[in-house]
Amino acid sequence: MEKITLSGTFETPAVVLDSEEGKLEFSGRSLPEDTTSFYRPIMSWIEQYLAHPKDKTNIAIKLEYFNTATSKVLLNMLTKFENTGNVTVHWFHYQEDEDMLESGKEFEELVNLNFAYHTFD
Amino acid sequence: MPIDKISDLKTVYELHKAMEENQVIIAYEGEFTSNITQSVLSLAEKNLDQKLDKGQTKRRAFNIAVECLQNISTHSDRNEDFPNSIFIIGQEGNEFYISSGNTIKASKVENLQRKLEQINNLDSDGLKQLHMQAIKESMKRQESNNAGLGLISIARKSGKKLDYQFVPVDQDNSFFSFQATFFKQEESL
Repeated sequence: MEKITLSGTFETPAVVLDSEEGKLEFSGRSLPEDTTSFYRPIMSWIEQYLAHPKDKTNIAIKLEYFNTATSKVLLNMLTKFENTGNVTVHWFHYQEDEDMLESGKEFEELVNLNFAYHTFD
Repeated sequence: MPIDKISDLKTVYELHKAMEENQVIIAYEGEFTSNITQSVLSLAEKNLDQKLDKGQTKRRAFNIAVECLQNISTHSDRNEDFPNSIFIIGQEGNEFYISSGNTIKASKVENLQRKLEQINNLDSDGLKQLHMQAIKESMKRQESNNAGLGLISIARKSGKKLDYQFVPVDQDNSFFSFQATFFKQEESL
């Protein structure tokens, strides 16, 4: 499967989708009003990956900002991994950013996946 | 007070003075295309960075600005008579306000008012529950309408009651004025 690497912009995150490593990473910010056009290719990559997933999948969410439209996409995306074994969501936040930590806890409540919390250095 | 034409230089000065007196940090009035929304947001962020440093208050402020602007561009009912909306960020001492104003169909007022009242009647735990419920529902319906979620998110970031007003502008339309306020926190070291 093709590895996808996208650079971040003012309103879209940097993305790495690496099937060899079983790694998905989103960093920076995700603020698009129209999430569909940005996330559609990512969702179809995920569908393909889930047909033959690695033994371990690590999803890193390293966002400083995301809008409510993105939170729906994230929930939708994470839900797709619920029936795949050994998936960990690595949720990053700034030390003092209690809102982002709480967002992670809310997603953890909403989906049936393991979460690990990390602070940015 | 009726304002003279902008071509009258007095109006330029009057507007400038009014904005200074109200400690307006940024104000944009006009059409909100997605390009313009992004430019206004970028300008808003530069100003917030200056006023708030890069801490939790700035992050909350920026989140509120994003949702306010996207509410305008997604939910205003523009038409030939009312093409414009307004977006303002201002400051009074340690209190900041982010305001928006846009025209909506009169038929939508009741529903929006009910949502806002519901939000204002909840404490932070109640808002969290409402947010969880709203996001689950929006997943099920796959609808593009995020208005409820956006407003809940603004209320949670603001930590204060949302201010709003509806002014009928003609038989079919109302002007929806909206304001979220928040206090600049002393950042802990």
